Amino acid sequence: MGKTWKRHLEGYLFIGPWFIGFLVFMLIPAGWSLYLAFTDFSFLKPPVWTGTENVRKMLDSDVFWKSLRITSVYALLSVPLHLGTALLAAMALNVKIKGIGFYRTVFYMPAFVSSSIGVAIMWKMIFSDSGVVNAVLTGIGLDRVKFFNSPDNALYTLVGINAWVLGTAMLIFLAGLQQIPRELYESAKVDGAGAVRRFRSITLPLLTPVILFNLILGIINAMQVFTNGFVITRGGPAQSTYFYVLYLYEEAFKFFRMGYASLLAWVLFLIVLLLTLLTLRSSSAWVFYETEMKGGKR
Amino acid sequence: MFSNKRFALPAVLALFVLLSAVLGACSSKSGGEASSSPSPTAASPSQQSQEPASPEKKDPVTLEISWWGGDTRHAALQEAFKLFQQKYDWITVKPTFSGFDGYADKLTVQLSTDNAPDVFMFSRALTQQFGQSDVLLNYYEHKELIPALAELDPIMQSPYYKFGDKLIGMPSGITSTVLVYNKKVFEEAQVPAPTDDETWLSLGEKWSKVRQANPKVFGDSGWFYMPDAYPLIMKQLGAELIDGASNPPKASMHPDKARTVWTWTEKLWEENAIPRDSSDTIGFDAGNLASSLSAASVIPSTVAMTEDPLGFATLPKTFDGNGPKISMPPVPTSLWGIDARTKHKEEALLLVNFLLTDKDAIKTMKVETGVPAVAESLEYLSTEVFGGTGVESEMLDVVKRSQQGSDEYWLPAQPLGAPDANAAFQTAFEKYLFKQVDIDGFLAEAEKTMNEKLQEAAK
Amino acid sequence: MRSNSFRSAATTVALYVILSLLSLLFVFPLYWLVVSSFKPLSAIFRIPFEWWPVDWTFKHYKDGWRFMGSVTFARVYLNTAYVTIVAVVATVFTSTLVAFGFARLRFFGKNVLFVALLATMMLPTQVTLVPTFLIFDYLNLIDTYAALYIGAFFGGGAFYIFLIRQFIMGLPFDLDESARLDGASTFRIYWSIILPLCSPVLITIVILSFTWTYNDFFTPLIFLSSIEKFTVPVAINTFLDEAGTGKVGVAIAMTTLSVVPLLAVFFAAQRRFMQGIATTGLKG
Repeated sequence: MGKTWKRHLEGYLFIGPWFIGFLVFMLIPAGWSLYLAFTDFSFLKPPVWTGTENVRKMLDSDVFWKSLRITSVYALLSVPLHLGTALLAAMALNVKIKGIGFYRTVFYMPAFVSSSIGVAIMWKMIFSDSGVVNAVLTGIGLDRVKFFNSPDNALYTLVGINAWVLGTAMLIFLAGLQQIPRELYESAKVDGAGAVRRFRSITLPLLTPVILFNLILGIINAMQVFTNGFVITRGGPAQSTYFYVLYLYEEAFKFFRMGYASLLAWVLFLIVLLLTLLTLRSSSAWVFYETEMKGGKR
Repeated sequence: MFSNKRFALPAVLALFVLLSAVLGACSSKSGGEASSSPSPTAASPSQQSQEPASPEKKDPVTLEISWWGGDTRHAALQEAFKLFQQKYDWITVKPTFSGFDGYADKLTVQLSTDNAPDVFMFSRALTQQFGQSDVLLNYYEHKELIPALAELDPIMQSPYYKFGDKLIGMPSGITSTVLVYNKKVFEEAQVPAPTDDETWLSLGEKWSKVRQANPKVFGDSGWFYMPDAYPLIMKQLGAELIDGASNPPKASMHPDKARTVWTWTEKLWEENAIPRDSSDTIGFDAGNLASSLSAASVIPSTVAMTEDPLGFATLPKTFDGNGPKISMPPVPTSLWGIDARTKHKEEALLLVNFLLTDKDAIKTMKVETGVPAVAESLEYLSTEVFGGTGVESEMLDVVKRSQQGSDEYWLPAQPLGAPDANAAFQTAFEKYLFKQVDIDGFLAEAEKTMNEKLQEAAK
Repeated sequence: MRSNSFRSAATTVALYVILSLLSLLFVFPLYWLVVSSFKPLSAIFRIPFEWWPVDWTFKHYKDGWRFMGSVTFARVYLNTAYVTIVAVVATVFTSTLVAFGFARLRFFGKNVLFVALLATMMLPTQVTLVPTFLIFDYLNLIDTYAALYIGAFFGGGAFYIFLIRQFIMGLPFDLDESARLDGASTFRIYWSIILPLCSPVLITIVILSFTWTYNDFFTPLIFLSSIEKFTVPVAINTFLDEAGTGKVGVAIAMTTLSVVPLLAVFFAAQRRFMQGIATTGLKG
């Protein structure tokens, strides 16, 4: 039918920019790296096909399982923490009081500097044995804590730092909160609903599309955590922060085993894909799209 | 709410963006296209001269060169290139540089995709990796164009410069691991400053005394993280950790001798003379360190970071005063490599040779890329440029002294698989450092995992 | 209705107090940077931490601004501004277009492509670096500004597209339908109906793409060679030697300086948050 063709074409026209970029810049490199996953490739010589050799090596490797475990623990801890604090912050910053813009900027500040070079030095100093954090702790009368120089604590310290950079997620929640029509709240108030009830029946449901977004993004980013593990701890101490992507990076660029690293990348891809699909699947149960509002009452 | 105004801003921006995209994509890479040059007549240098005879007049050539470093290094090198271009007027040098972070990754990608600069700096840790392919030019095949090679050849017989029979890196400069110490801290503690005649035991004693005098200062920053110091100490006790000659290469921890070292270390740890797992080892700048094992090449920047006067000594040559005196020879700070696929081999070799030997270039670069490897250049720098004073002079002097007074100069073996083996050692060591295993567990695991890696690489 | 009908004075005060206390937490690292940038190098790592510089110096800023002499940091800022603005504008346009397609239109393979969209965020970039480099080389994009913003013309990345899609899916279909009844084309619906209602998320996209393009270290590192084209992060990186020694003070100073435009953009953009309210009024 002519009409159907037109509809499909229209769809592709709209997503065209992304689709073309996907084919050229994504599909080709991804396909190539999938091929590499079953080769021995040291960058400077042509790849040599080795079949499942890399897979065997990966499954036998202690470090593989270890880094997977460390990354999963990190994700399990940091995703809820990060999201929870971001949501709370966004709600607190959604109010219309004077100077709220100042506070929003302050809360977002960590996101400006988090990817900067000088920051690694700063974190190491802040969390060192005689650094500011320990100074505060001893000031209150507590014992000193070893943060980045203890294999038991380093990972949790990184989780904490990650929660501190709540700016992006917070901003997105803020935008989501902004999109909720005020009329809904006002008519709910008129109907006598209290603050908690308003939160549960209006805010939360209407935020679910955005919560889903932050959740999926949170999982994707947490599983691929790299930067802080690289610049602050270098995977240490005693490999306690040896994240999966850090392992991948070292295999690729330190030991020149790019073939094996490609396999690692694809394994991670499959894991994250699985987690994302599960999350998406579950979303039909708790995410509300497309609200129907006629005349502001529901 | 549809007015003309609403269109104006988006339209202007869209136009701007479109124009930029078109311009951006059409602009060619800056720097001209290099024309291919005819092969030069064979240069025949005289016995004494340090430069090849200038080839006849040629077509213009652009050489790309990259390195990493800080801004002083960049400025110095660019000055040197100006001099080079004056001398060899058909060559234009197009430099590119970056900080250290990410440099090696980028270089690897460039080499992999045949996009590398003609000449590039690379780290000695990568020589073996690069050497396994044919991507780097073998300097031995072009001896006539790089006279400096003849003089330097004796010091370049190590895995830092060579892979098998190929010489793939010329040193941008050399360095030694030396002891840097804080004169003020030693004075205040009334402990004699370290000298070139220390043993590890006597050095450790000094660290203890400093710590006793001032509980805020560590004797040293903890030195087992350097892959060089521990194998050296073991060698001084008569044990080599990696036997590169056997097939496959074999790692042995020599537990008896190892325990000597680690028992001594544990005593120092208990006294906090050196830190075990403290993170307060920020350095001379915070007045926290009495001394530190450091590469000589970073002495100028270390000195710049603190207000306390610093002194320099060579590493101890024996563990306890017995046995032969053993030191490590200087190693390259970094190396100049040439892409074997370059169309301008002759010009590239000229440039490398120039940087190593030309007096004016040396004068400009000073010690920015390390201590000059060519002895004559080092002397020139030391006497005529620095006049024997200043921190650079001291740096040159301590590197010179590190090449004197020992019975044997020794480097750890670096067979295939050495990077993995060293990393395995590091992992096992950190478990011991953070008290997850005891000394026997550490030594056993280190030996086992190192051998696994060495065997895997030998396949 | 009174503007503060939602809460009492006491709640407001409590809110201010909590926000202020938390602000200390968030602002401290930036404070560390600012204060350190004015300390001489030997004082930056002093223990205990100097809350206020004992000796002041502007040397780090002077050295940093001078950068290479021939190329000053002014040039670096210009480069960064150029690349960032192009990237932001292109991102806003293309990402909304694509997101609308995924959110509102039905076409063959949409669900699969949507998962593919998400999937593009799941493969670590380290392993696609070499072929990407080859492709860029083939397209003559190496060492050009275009290499840095070209992605923005293709949707800008799955993050933005996914985000906007979520927002659009929260808007009622009735709006589209009544516009169609009025005879509007699909593009008209996108441009005149949906896009204006997305202003909170558009502001977010502007802020995020600005910040991320500005702070992007990896792309310019790999694809740029000419020093005249350097952007802020790679320029700052040149001050640091191996093991982070070198001109640490300068790096800190320039990092501090580089935050200023980000702050300005953020502050200006977030003010519009209050002004864009989703409307529920249906036409007719």
